[in-house]
Amino acid sequence: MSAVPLLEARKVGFRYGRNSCLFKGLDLTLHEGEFLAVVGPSGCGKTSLLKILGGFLTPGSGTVYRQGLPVQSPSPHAVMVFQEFDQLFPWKRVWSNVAFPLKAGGKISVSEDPAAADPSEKKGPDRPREIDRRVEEILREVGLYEFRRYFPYQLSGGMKQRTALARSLVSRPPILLMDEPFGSLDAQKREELQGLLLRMWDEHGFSVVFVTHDISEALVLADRIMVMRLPEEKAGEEGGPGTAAAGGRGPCASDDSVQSIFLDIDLPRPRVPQSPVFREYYRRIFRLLGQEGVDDRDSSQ
Amino acid sequence: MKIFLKKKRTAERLLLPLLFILPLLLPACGGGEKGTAPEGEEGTAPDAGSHRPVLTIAEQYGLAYAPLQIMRRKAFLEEELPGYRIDWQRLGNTAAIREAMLAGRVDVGFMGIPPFLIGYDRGMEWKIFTGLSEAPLGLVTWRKDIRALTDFRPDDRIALPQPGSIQHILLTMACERQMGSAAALDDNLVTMNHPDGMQALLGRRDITAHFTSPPYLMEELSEPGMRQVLSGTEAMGGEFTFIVGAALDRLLWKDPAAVEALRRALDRAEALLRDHSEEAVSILAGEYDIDPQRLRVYLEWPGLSYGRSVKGLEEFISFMRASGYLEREFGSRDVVEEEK
Amino acid sequence: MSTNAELSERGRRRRQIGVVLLLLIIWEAAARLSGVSPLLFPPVSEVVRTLISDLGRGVLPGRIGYSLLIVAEGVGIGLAAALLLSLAGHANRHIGMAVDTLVALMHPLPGIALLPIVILWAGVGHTAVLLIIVHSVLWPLTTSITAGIRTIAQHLYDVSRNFRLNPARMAVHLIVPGIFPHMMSGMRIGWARAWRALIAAEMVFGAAGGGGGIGWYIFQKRVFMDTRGLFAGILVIMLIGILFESYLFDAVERITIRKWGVSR
Repeated sequence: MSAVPLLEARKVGFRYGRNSCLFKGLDLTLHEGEFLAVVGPSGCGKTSLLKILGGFLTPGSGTVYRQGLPVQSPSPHAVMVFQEFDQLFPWKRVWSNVAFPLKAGGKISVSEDPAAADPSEKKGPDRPREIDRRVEEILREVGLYEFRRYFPYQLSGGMKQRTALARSLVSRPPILLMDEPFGSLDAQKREELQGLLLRMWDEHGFSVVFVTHDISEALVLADRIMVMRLPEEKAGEEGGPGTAAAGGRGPCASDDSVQSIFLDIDLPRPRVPQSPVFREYYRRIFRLLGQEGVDDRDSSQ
Repeated sequence: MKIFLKKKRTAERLLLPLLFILPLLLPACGGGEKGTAPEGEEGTAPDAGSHRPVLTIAEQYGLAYAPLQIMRRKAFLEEELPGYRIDWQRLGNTAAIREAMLAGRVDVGFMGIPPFLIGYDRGMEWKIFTGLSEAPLGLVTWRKDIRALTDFRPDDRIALPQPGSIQHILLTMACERQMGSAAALDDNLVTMNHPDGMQALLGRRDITAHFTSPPYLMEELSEPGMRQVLSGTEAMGGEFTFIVGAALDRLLWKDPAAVEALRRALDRAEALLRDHSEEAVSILAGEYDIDPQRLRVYLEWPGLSYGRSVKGLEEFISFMRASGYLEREFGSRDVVEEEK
Repeated sequence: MSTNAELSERGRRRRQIGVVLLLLIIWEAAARLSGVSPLLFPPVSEVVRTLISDLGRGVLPGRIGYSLLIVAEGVGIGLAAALLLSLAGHANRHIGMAVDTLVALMHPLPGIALLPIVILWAGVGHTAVLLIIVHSVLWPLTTSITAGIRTIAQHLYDVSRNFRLNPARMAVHLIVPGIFPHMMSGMRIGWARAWRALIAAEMVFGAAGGGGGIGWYIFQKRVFMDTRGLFAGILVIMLIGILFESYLFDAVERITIRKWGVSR
């Protein structure tokens, strides 16, 4: 892992409205190639956090850094994928939707590491051909090449999300920010797409921040899980610096030393939801999210 | 249920064309049929039991129609034709009068000779039964560099009332006479009614010249810087009657006495005018809303006279036929209803 | 392979043509049998004959071309202005309110009503007629485009921002296609109003010399008492209206919003 984290949020806070505060003093780091899931109930600010990480929202306090530089606006380096199907352009076919970042956005490769100079970075008359090649490649990866001339209204929900996934990866961004992308799909489709995502993640090596309210999903996918809780859930909380458990206060506690709860998931992939270790993780996270007392020993080695 | 729907559709199918036939048959109902006289049915006042015959007369605004206004105000016609109801209408322009007469809604109309001839040529059944006035007509411009028709440049614009009007025909006559081609200035023409034309001319921006008639002619020429380039008589090559009176054949056949009465009433009105009497001036000043002094100046303008002779008819007919405005063969005797 | 919808569409068109033919037959019969003067009510056969001869002689195509060209010009200007107003109104709340108010005031005015004012300010001629046309299309288009902008999914804006689209690219990839359905309905209304206003304006303004459109053609027919020509001109107006409203706009919708599955 490189020394500088790919993405880092320091003491980030966000409020909407005058008095309602979503979270405060939140820290987060994302390393290269890492798959981080953010789990929490609806309304706890996961989406807002994701948007702040992407530069779509400005935090009320704190700063986000990407490769050491502060994030101020959205960038093709961190591509967002949404849950809703209307993120595809209805008037573009699958092919055009996927080609969109390359055609309208700018550089083909967004890698910032000069050492990893993308051999596909071509200019001039070769560029269209290169674009076509990339688009075809990724369409085949997600299994939509045969449907490349379809319009979004002709696609099923799963196919739409696959298109969105292809579009987000066609420019090979280092970071993917995913906001419950499979939430509108049925269980079977969800599993398929989870598998696809993992395969592509394994293949291309990008980093992911994946927001979900589904604990199983997070466990199937992630290296690390960040658990966010609603403010009310702080009743009976132990914690403070020095305790073995990096016990998180709920957000918006009055003191600034709030830490988020991170769990390293030490399970080999592919993950088996029936396995006892999996179920143990599940219960732990469930309790973290729930009302009961927490035995949140950090489960890392 | 299905039977009901089928019935409904058939009914609809018949209804739709029926609805369309009705408006198409409307012209057949309203009038314009040959040989029927709407004896008092148009606009008949609900007189208990009496069927007063109605005579519908269309006039226009302008000094050239002065005898009509005098006649109306002094009720000369009502005196000559007791028992008749006289229905005066003021329609927007000559074409409207012509259309109303074609449809049989107006019996008598006053207009220039060329519009009458066009109507006759197209098959309208009407005749000229009297002249009304001779008047000065002129082409007025504000541009110093224009002294003759040949001075007009391709992008100069000349305003006149609609194509086929006497002003248009006179201008083409002059073009033929002075430049060898009747259509020489056709691309320079702009259609405007008299008030708009005068306004545009005085604005010195949109149009270069205005071919017009009283009182606009007088008003424009009294404006400093305005000059007349061509007069009606120059264009014609002689005198001509400006406004004539036309009557439907059906009126001339069925009620020649009314036409005679009309002539007599006009004589009386013209007598009043001829002396430029105080009475005439005050009546007209009220009608046109012009200061009486100015009106007197206009009435005394050279070239303006009232009378019932019809001059220049042959010249108009032959020129318009030669230029293609008229298609049929006929002579001046065919279009005039002589006095008995 | 025709879909059911296309088949019934074709059937509908055939029935429509059938009705039109029936009307023509009725017209011909009524004109010839009713005894009304052909100056008032010419038979359709004579009208068609005049129409064909005027088309062949070259006068009518020029008139038609003039009218269509000036409508195209006016619609183009109106569309650009409507886009500008709508985008500005969308970007800034106060501008948006001002635009809404302006539209509410101007929309109810028929183009003809503005004729006297337009004559005073712009004289007669090309500019004046153009102003009338722009007025006819601008307000319905602004209304519909403003509505259309609001229907564009928020996520699409986010996607555009994600890839750092400049405003020009955003307009092309996002705004224009996004507002298309609404713009089309605004365009239908605007075109209908513009076409009617144009004919009326042409009749009033007349023409300068050799130019002029279909309204001028009809006006000339009237003053020369060529009733057959008059009817021919009316037929042309109807045909062009049908061409645009039933065929042209339909075709545009077919290759855009129906293709995309977003027809309303």
